[in-house]
Amino acid sequence: MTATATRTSDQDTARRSGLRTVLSKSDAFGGTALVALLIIVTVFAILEPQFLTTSNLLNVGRQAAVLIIVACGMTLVIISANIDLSVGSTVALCAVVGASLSATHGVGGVLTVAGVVALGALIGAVNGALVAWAKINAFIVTLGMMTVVRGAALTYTDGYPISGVQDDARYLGFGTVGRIPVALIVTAVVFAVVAIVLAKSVAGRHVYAVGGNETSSHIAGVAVARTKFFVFVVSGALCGLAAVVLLGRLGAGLPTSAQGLELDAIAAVIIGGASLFGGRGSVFGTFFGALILAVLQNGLNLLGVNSFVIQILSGVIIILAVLLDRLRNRTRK
Amino acid sequence: MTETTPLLELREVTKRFPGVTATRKASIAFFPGRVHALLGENGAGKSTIVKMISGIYQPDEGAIVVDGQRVRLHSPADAEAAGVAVVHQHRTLVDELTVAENLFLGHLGRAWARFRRRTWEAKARELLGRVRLDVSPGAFVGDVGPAAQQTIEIARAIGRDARLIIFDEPTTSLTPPEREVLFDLVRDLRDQGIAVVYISHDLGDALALSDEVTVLRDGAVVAHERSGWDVQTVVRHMIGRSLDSGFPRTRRIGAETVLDVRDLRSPHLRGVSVSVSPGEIVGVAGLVGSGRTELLRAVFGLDPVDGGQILLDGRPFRPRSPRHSIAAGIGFVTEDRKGQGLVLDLSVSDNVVLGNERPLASAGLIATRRQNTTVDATIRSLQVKTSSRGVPVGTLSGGNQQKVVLGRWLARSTRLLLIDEPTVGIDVGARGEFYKLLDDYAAAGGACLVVSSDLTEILGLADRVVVLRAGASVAEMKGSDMNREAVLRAMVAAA
Repeated sequence: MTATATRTSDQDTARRSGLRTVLSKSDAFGGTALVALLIIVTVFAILEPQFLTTSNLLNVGRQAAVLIIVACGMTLVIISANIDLSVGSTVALCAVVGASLSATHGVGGVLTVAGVVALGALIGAVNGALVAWAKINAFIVTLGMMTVVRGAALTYTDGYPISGVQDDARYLGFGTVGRIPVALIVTAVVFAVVAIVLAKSVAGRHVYAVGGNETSSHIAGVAVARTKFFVFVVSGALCGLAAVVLLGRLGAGLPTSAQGLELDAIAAVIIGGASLFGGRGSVFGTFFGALILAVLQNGLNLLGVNSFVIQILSGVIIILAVLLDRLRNRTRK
Repeated sequence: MTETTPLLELREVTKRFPGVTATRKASIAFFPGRVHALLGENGAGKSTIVKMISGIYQPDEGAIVVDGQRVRLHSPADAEAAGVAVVHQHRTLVDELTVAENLFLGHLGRAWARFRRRTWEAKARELLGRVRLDVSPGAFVGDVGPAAQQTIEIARAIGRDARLIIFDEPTTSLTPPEREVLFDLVRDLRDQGIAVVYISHDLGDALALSDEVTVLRDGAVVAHERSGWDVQTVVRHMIGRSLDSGFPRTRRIGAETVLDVRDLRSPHLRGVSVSVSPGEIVGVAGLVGSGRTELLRAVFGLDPVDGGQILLDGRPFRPRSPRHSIAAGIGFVTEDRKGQGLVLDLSVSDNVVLGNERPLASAGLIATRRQNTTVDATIRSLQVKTSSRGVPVGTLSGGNQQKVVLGRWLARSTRLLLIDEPTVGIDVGARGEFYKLLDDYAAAGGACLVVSSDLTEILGLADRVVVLRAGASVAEMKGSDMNREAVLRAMVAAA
């Protein structure tokens, strides 16, 4: 009698774990977000002939580049069970400093790009050190940093844009290779590198482990503090790179640019299936999540929908995504 | 009091959790006006039964019968409506509210509607009178002592017209005189016709107080008696197996010393000395709070050390962090597998190599084939039962999860294993397998320091036992001196 009971419970477990594996596999590559993206694209393609043209799609890509680059960094941060609210401000400060280097101080393109990325990484390092070693909650640290850095950008420029960025510094955001914008190539490279880091590298594995269970990871010998520091530095450096792309596109550095970018980036990561509690998520999902936000914006614009209404719809999408995640978790249990 | 109808009855109740059957076909009847002691070791199924009676869990099979009628208790509210109340091991009162407010908490709406404040407090005073507690209804709960707080919980249960009250380890935070007061109160409740379920690790108290006794082992009812049992009979039923069965011993103890802890002091330890040789399993016994876990944590670099000495292979060792201890060849299998051992969302494979990925990687990238080779070897040698190495480790049974944690340390050539409660939450069958793995490890020259609350386990497993009391090592025994009575006496002795 006991033997039968045990066997059925084993079968149950096996069936459940099978279902779980399928779900988490599709999840690992942002399956749900991809399906949602395809549906949205199909709807726009039917409603608006302008939508599926090459020039419009390239336009979407160019618009989405900054968000995707920043969201890739945010993916690492969120999987490690942290949050980075300072990304928007960091992009803005990096952009005005870059503009000032190139336009005012006549620094060359390569050095400008390197300086801006280094500045982003430095801001990330400060965040990371405060979270990892001073053990202050990431929400608090980056909330403070968001305000500090935005203030720094405004102080540095007196609140005015800095224009006149030279062409060599604009190449990554404005240049093209054939018809393909360089910004898209940069985005693709960032995506590929972050994907490989998460899937294959020791550091990426530790990001998942720390986010999944910090105590277990610590006891297993994972360098928990170093891992946290790492994700914030990557997030900061990618903000620097995103600022270069933005700078190139606009030809100027605006201290008020990228406001609310942190919320879009977090939304992209969550729509992509990551858990805000850490341990789960993928850069594929984030990629699709960011595209959903960008396509929605672009398609609704083409349809002539009021931009205030677009805001409402974006918010609804975010909540729907989390609701979906909740349902997915229920099937898991 | 007639005994024809039990107030509440469990009929062949089975409850399963992934990997563990918590109760199997357990039948127990609780009668009004009787104190019924529920006894058993940790994991025997007592708390599962309490949770089924109080509506937190629902049985997978079998029935719960109240007043002769089958019922389904879907929630604690259902159980409360059926007259069930629990006086918890952990307090459930709100410190910032008054005694009267706590008494009617969750029923405030009803209370507000029915009474003006004065009648409300009068009602509270009446309830406090029934449990003979002399505190003002307007006093804040945070200001009264732990014993009074527990009594307030009992008063609350009575106030909700409870007909069956479950006492879950009620004496743990009470002084001896307070215990006597509690016992009187329990007898009072019995005489008022309430069915009392009494759960305690203190077998002497439980036997003295109860009118009938049910012993659980591995989820099943193994004995039930109206009265006339002594502690030894109960213990025999609780353990149900002879002391040395299932504990293989193929190891040979080496002459040298791997770990030598001398007079170790920390905020939780007041002088602990213990040593372990290669091929040796040393057991650490002691009551909860005696510093057992804290000893392992200190050696592993998780807690700071204030004084004393730790020698590793005869050389002084000051553990700074887990990474530092791991580098010195120490591994730690924690008591809380899910919270402090595994990352449940990661696969079996990733958990086996967690923290040890560097040797599998080149240029920072993990070579999947090399990882698979390592993991497959671990799965094979420890006989981990899993459908594949890729499934989330959380889907495995407790015993197999424990093997994954152990496998992680074995895969990185650990010389000294610290193990806290090796078989907590693991089915009996799987325990034997785990004991064999530990013996194999020691036979290969490994050293083990094992903490366990299960005396049978510790006496069977260990070559030597060190007893901790109040943060200090107070006794060490081996061979024929190492027996249950001696260990127990050292654990609790007053001086």
